Amino acid sequence: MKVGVYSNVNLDAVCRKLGSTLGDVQKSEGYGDWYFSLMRNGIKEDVAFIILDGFELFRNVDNIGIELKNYIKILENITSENKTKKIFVSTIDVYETKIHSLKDFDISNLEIEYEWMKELQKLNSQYENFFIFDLKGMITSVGRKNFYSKKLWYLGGIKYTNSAENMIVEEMIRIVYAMEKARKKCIVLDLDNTLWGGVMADVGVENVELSEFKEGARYKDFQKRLKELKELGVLLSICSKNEESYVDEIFEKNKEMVLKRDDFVAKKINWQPKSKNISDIAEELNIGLDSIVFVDDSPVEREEVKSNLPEVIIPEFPKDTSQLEDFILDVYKKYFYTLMQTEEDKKKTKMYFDNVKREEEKKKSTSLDEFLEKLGTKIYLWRMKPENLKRATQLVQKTNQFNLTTKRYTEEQLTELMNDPNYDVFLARVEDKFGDNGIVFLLIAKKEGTNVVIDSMIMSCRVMGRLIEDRIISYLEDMWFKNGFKEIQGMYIKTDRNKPVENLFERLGYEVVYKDENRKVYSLTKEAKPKRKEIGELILE
Amino acid sequence: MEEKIIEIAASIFEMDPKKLSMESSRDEIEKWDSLAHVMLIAEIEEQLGISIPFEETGSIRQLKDLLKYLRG
Repeated sequence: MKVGVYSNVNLDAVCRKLGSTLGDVQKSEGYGDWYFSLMRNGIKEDVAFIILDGFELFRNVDNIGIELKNYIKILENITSENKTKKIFVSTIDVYETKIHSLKDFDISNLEIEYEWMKELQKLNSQYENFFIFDLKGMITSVGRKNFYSKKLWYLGGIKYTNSAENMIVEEMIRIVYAMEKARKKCIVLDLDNTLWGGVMADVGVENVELSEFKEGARYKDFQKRLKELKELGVLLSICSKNEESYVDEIFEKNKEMVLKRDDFVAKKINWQPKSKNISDIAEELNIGLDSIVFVDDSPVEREEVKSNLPEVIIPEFPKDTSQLEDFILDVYKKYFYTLMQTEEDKKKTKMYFDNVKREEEKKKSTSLDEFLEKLGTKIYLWRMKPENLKRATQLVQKTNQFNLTTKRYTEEQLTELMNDPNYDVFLARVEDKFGDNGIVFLLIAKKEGTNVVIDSMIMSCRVMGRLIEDRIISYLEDMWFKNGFKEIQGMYIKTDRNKPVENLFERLGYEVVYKDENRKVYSLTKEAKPKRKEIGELILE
Repeated sequence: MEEKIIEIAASIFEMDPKKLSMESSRDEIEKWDSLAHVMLIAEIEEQLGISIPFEETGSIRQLKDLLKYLRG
């Protein structure tokens, strides 16, 4: 992912620091003309950070109101002309040192800041590719004394202190990682002394430390933040050595509980080792152990899980429980940082509940076929449309397991492929009697003469093992053969995560025509197409 | 303390710390450009909790020149 940093002050040191983590970073040429190249050449990078110093922005400007509107207009133009790029614009701190009498109190700078923020907020709600980079928020949190450096300003035209620049760099890296890396999926939580203070079996469910104010607020605030994480699409689970009856009771009787029973997708309340419970949770939810963050106040439990399940992420629980809220904020920033909540995110907990019901149905069925029949799967298949771009990009960027070639196309590249007549780009949504799984499948195929080359085939792991891919590929093969194509080529490129689909094309009856350590190429002709099991119903949209 | 200075300098110059010594100077280290110089001063000040007077920042030519501010 390419990153650009544009600023009206010298952020060369920021670019250099950023570059050592993210590779080459583009930067604006002159400070006064930060917007010229953006207007003239557009944004070449995938992400542009526009970091503006409030005081410098309006230095020696007579009519600030007009100038401010001009800048906003420029930013709006840049945003609307670069729809496939993500643009982050900073809030501003208009700070100048001035000697004045006490009576001579001036709030005009605050008014400018507020006006700027209001305008940014308008762009933020209007444009999906526009985001606010909260520079002012950073300055407020550490204070101007720690943020501005006179010495560096006089020495090298650098406005901000070293530690301030580090804060800016860290936030930029978090944002870029949030775009290109998969978030973790689930937090597994202990109960006693984690979600509330004290041991409920000893003190009673209504006497645990959990309240709006004072001591109990440490835990209530913690629960509030966990609830917000859940709203962002993070799954919550319980893993506690306890009696189930107490747990039922606290959910029923303790009015201070922010988290309710239904906020948790899985509950393991028993006396088994926690590592065993956590692997059961991973299996039930069909997620990898490396997507799980385990939070427990007991170092013994953390150690037990760590030594048996090294993939699980186990943050150090704060010794000082007044730090619990900061702790969970830190966990959010590290493992769950989210740019934008998608429709999928909002439904996530429900989708996993549906999945738990599916698992139960599966256990009741005598065979896989019987189970798949009972699901009543409906697959809706269509050619990708512009309104699917966001979800399609998410699938392409973040799917690791069921991903045959792991080509990480950007939103812009996907737009090109979608509009290119030489390519077929299909998406599928899957529904069954337990609920909607959302858009879970993407296929990109290139038409070359009389051949069709399957460039990418991606499916979300939550619907793996239901032969959905068989049904879709069969339909598409028939379509291509009917349209006169003679041969379909498939490819598998090995990564350290996509072992589950290593032999997918073999299973689908394709012939291996080339094979080396990292790559397999396959071929299928009309005559060689095998008869496959057809599960569920395929509906073309 | 010398180790710490070398560690900081190495991270700013993006070099192997083994290739640096207190004798290393601006003339021989290519990555020690004017931006790196300002970054070095800022980082040293912050990490070691010292202050290098503005007037003297230009006369720091070698890593060992930083030592006197630690002792002072």
